[in-house]
Amino acid sequence: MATPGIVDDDAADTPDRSAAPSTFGRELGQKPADELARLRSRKLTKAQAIKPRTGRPGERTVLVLYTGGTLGMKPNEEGALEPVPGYLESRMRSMSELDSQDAPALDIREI
Amino acid sequence: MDPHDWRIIAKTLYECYLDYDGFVVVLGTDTMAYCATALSFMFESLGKPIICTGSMVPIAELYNDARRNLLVAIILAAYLELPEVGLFMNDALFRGNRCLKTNSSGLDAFESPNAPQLVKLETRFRIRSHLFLPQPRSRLRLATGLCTDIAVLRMVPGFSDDYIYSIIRKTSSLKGVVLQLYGTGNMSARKTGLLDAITEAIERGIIVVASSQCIKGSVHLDDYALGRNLAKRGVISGGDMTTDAAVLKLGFLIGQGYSPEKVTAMMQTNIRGELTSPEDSNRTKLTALIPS
Repeated sequence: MATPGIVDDDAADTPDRSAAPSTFGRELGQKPADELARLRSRKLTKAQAIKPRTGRPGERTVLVLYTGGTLGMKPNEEGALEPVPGYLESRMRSMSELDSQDAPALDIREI
Repeated sequence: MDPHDWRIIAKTLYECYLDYDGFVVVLGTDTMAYCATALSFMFESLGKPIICTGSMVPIAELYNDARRNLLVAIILAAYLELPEVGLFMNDALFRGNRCLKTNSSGLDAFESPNAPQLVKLETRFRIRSHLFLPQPRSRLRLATGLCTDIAVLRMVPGFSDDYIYSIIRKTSSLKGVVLQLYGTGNMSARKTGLLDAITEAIERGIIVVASSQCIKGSVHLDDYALGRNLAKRGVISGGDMTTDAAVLKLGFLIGQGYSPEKVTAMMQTNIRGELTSPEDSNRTKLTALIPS
């Protein structure tokens, strides 16, 4: 969590401390234990390079964070849309637009 | 998608802030404006673009808006000198905390009724960089505290107020109320009981903010006697913030542990481009135009 150059004044709700009671930021009637379970149920994937960095001078880098939503959903067997891990990443890998030299280096992470 | 998710998103971006030039957050459109607004408050002195985007048609479909929205959001995140949280949808980049989802089926699902678009996508990019927030002068700070003990109460002419009384009087955890009033901040003058309940809430330390049911324009509590009465009782004007921005800003400020006085002052101060300051709103009364 200690990233040089930036200050985090809010460590009260990191997973390892969320069992401690806090005055603020808690939903009505929600117990800290539920909060902890919910936080643990979220999986954040490691950054996957869609377009690797080349080290070219002036190259820009962008992180895409996919948190769900219609954009990256896939129809299931019954035709209903649902999020599928890795699906947006695989679609992005086949986007030829990103081969352009104008496209920035690109990583993706999913929650 | 709720404050827990927004915190995880904020912390993830914060932890790798130095590794990238810009960030794209892909979200569902229903809660996108809320998330963008929450992120805008959580990051103080943001110096890089965070572009929220999504689509109305999934990328899996033969025709979709997903592909373009994603690619344009990536371009904007990479190349704009935009030190704020934006929302890109269809053909426009908006300030995130000014947005409302106003269309549940069109591809142009979002509007920012009280703030001009920051970028308009045409055959070229129409970039209005003079509207961007200024570059920060200090280091990035993340503060994810968000109080969610806030009620949003919408008025309907002549309908029962009983639920409003009971929310205000019986919810002991309540820390804030956002009233969705009519027009510039009106409610029925007959509802003296409601006025008393509001006064009671303020006396109990609950912060009460007046917002408008109109999506365009601003609350002006000094226009009508009733508004002045509300202001006299301690109701704060939400100005031209969206109701959602008013709620999240109030939750954010209370969540920082600020005193009621500080929350009251900051609610009426523009902190992330979410509010047009009264001195910038350029309202001139006719009497001021007529030479004396």
